[in-house]
Amino acid sequence: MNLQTEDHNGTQVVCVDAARIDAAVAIQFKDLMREVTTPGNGRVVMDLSRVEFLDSSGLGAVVAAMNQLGPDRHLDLAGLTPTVAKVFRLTRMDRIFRIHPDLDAALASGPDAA
Amino acid sequence: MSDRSDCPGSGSFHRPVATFRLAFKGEVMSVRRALRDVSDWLGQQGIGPSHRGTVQIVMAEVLNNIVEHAYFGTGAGPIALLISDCSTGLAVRVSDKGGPMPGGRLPDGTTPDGNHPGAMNEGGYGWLLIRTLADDLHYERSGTCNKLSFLLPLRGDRRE
Repeated sequence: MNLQTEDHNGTQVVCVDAARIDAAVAIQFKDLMREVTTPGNGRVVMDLSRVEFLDSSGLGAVVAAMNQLGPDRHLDLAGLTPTVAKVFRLTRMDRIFRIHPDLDAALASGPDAA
Repeated sequence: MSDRSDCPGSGSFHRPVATFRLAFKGEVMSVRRALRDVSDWLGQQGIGPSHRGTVQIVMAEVLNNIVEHAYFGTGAGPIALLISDCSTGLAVRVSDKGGPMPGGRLPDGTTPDGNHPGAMNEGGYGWLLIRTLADDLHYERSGTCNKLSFLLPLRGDRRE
């Protein structure tokens, strides 16, 4: 598992370079997210376009990544593949996160846009 | 529950089109490989990527629950899996030799309580996914074994 990160005009993009966020890597993923997002401020966009599968442990790790950013920083998600999108939809987490079709759409949408 | 691989229903439809058996160690990397093997077999049965994704969501939760709960503190024991392709759905049987379900019954699978922005629950979504996607869930403690069976409907075109 690799997390690649770039700054785009104050928005931090984190690209998850892994095919799976599952029980085998959930804790590692959560720790790596903390590594790459602290210290920092402003919005974080997680690019999940390379992730083909996410289980409830992986979902928990994404939620943990949001929680550990604190109340002042938003975590948006981009590029959900079909099975990953289904997990977010069935657990109603699609109502908690702002989910963008892809990274371009996430960057075009400002931090406060609907 | 017997180890039979019949499909639900009666008449000629209760014979599965094909069955798949797998036995593996109850630890996370073996679960990963098992999920890949199941997905490969479903592909060979002509079941498309959307259905395979749904099956993988349910199977991942069921198998990781065994690893994380039934075999918690006891070391990784065996898991046996039997999947019957019943044409319009899959009949699945999973058994393990770990500890029993708390209270001898399956968890409810309700949405975790106390979700609010800034302090979302980081767990508790597994049984919600299983109960949403699987039908006819049945759990039985048989001697030192847990036996779980369920159906995964293949709605619409199974090639999707």
